[in-house]
Order: sequence, then structure tokens, then C-alpha cells
Amino acid sequence: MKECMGLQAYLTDAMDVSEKGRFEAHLADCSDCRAAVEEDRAMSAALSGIPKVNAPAGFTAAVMREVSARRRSRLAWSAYGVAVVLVAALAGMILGGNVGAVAGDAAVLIQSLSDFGASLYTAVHNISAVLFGALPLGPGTPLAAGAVFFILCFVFYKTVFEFSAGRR
Amino acid sequence: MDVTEELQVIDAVLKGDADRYEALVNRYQKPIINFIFRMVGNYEDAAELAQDVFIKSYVSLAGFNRQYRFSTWLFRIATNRTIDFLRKRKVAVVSMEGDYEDYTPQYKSDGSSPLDTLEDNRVKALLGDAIQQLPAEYREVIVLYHVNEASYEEIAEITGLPLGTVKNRIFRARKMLKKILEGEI
Ligand SMILES: [Zn+2]
Repeated sequence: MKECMGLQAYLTDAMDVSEKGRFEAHLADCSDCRAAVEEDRAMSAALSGIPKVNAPAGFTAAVMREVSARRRSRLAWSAYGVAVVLVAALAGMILGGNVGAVAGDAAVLIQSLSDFGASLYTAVHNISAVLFGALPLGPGTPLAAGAVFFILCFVFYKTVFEFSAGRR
Repeated sequence: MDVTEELQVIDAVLKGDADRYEALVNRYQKPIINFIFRMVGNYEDAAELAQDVFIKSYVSLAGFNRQYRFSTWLFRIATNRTIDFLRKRKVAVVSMEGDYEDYTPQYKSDGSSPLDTLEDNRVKALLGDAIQQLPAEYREVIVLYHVNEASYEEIAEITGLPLGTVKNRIFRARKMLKKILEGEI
């Protein structure tokens, strides 16, 4: 029967009031549709009755430990971002550039560096976790890495300076 | 915690008060774990994946779109993470000649329809097993609708599917489950 086609729309609340009324009138006449509606409702009820599980003990604590670790690494990388900007500004002044004109971009640069650093931390953490099982990446690691990078920046700046001054 | 309070918590976390994130973890851990558990069928995997979901949500919280509810955002991360996990597991299972493909529920037919005894706890457990046999795209919507009690509209937002497709899949999934329970598949 043509009316039987409405079964799915009826069972998924896809009918307006008048369509619903018409289908319910059809249900009174059609035992196939009546049986189908009953079966679907029984299945829905059974699905809603599936037992729920609880989160394991210490779940929230484990998540929050990881959250703190991420946050610390982010802060450390932000500090490192500030350091890079300072080095750049210093280098700019020594080379006689217009530092004031670009100072407005410093905040953006720090933000980008801390974003980049946090991603880098995640990548390093994941790779090392795979390689060594559980490499102890404490809160000091990004700081140490930052210090090393700071020194590399200085060496890089010195090299550029030497080169530009023609004393190669 | 209502929607306004949730947004306040999110603002505080974004301003650097990471400890406030705990309220969101406490509120949503159970629904997220139950969703993932019914998707992957293994409690240990579910707990681990749920932890990933909450970390990922924290790390990318700046990208949270306020026009949606936080739960929608969280479930979107959970579905992506779970589907990704299932895809990798499927590759692993196939390569180990696993028995997922041949798996049939231990339903012993006594001539009556399984629907006649659906109140029975044993059948509820069988239903949990039967859900595991649904294709992932059907399992996802049926679990969101019946286990997590999400509305059709929320499911459409979480999955990015048109509303009609969501309704169609949920309806078809219930029919498939009935067939699985009857041992016809
Ligand atoms: Zn009919």
C-alpha cells in the first residue's frame, strides 16, 4: 500500500501534525505497519536500556596532569618567544634598523612562537614516547631547549654580523 | 552547569586558568566514555581514547566555536578520534586474519523473536555485541541517539551529515540490529 511508505518518516519524527494524523489512521487498518511500529519501538526501548559504564577511577586526575604539563610547556615557550624578540630587537638596534616600526608585531611573533613551540613539544613528546616508552619530559625541558636555541640564535646573529661587516 | 556557566569556564581556561578545565572533564567524562565504549567495544581502549579526546579539546580550545554547544564540539572530537582508531584497528585485524568479519552473536534461537524477550538482561548484553557489528557510520549515529540521548539535530551537527541522512541511518540501524539479533546476517 502507498500509505505504508510513510513508516520511516513516522518513526523518525519527520511528519507534520496532519501527516501524522493520516498515518495513524492508516495504522488502524494496516497490521503490517502496526507490527513494524511496535517492533521499532521495542528496539528503541531496548537500546535506551543498554547499561552505562563509569569512567575509571582517577580519570579526571590523569587528564588534568596532562593538561598542566601542556600548559607549563606553553608558558615556557612563551618566555622563549619573548627572549627571541629581545634578541632580534637588540640585533636590530646594533645594526641600526628602525626597531620602533616593527615593535607592534612583537606580540604576534611571541604568540606564533608559543603556538609553534607547543606543537613542537607535542610532536617531540609523542615521538619520544614512541621511541623510548616514557621519556621524562619535565617542565624544565622546553626551558633548556629554549636556552640552547637562544645560544644558537646568538651564534647565527654573530655569523651574519661578521659576514655583513665583510670580516669573513 | 548550564550553557552560560560552561562558556565562563571556557573563557577562564582560555585566559590561562587551566584548573577550571576540570569542571568540563567531570561533567562530560561519563557520556564520552560511554559513547566511545559502545563504538569500540573495549573498556580499556575507550578510557584511553576518552583521555585523548579531553586533551585534544583542551589543546585546541581556542578554536571552539561559540555558536555550538561545548558537548557538540567535544563529541565531534570524539567521533573523529574513534573513527580514526577503528580504521587503524580494522587494518590490524585484517592483517592478523581476525575474526571480526565472521563474528556472530551467541544468540540461541528458541523460535521466538528476540524482540519478545528484549527486557531480558542477556538480550541487552547481546544488543551491545550486535552494535559492534554495525558498520561504523551506523554505529556512530545509533549510539549518539540511544546511548547519549542526543537529538537528531545535535547528531547532524556532530557528524556534519544532513538531518535526513541522520534519521535514515538511525532507522536503518535499528532494523539491522533486529536482523543481527535474529541471526539473519
Ligand atoms: Zn501499512
